[in-house]
Amino acid sequence: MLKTLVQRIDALLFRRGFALADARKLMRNQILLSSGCTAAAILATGFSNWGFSFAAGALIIGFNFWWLSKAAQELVRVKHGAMFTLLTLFYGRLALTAVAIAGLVGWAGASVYGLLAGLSTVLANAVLWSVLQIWHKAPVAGDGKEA
Amino acid sequence: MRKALLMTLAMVLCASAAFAADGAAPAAVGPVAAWATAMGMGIAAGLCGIGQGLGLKAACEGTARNPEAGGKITVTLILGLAFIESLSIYALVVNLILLFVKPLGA
Repeated sequence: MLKTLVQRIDALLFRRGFALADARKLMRNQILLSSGCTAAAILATGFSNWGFSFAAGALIIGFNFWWLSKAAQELVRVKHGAMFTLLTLFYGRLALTAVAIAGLVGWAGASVYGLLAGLSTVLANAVLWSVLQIWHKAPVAGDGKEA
Repeated sequence: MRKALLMTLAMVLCASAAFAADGAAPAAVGPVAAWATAMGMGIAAGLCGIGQGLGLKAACEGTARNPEAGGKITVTLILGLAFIESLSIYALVVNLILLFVKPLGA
């Protein structure tokens, strides 16, 4: 079931412009991690303000990461004339993020700690990814008889 | 130049606190918090912008030198940009806490 879900997410990401396999994996991990943590947080806290704040933070940072990944892929191979659109999307995304967080903290009365925990899912994903990369690349310790 | 800039900054900050001190004591925190919010966000955005610019510059140079490594460089760039941008978003949240939640008083 998880394999099918992963394949579906991969197919969706590919259709949405995530051409690089590693970038697709990174985004897929972010979607799975934030969904899982959000469900766990909401259920564990009994549908409290903290859980919903966590969900809002994870959603905002997931949206942010989606656009950041797409922008970074485009930035490295900029097509002629696409620069203005790319910049508008980049700053528009930042403005939307700022307005959403201001609305949550200032007017909606969201739990700040929950929001910060939700926003940290992308950092957790990046750290996890880096650790796994180092883990896979680590040389196997020999017994000294290879030379 | 640097000395003049620092002195102007110090005078502006002291002036807001001094004007605020004329009123009731807890009200002094408000304007200082507003100044701190504005300056904190400005510093965070500026430094994160420099960091992202340096990262992107290095990624473009690396891809231009070795186009075959473009994929790996892009993934590393995404991770770097995400780390840097998270810092600016954390700064935004802390500044919004200062502005709206007012942990230092009204």
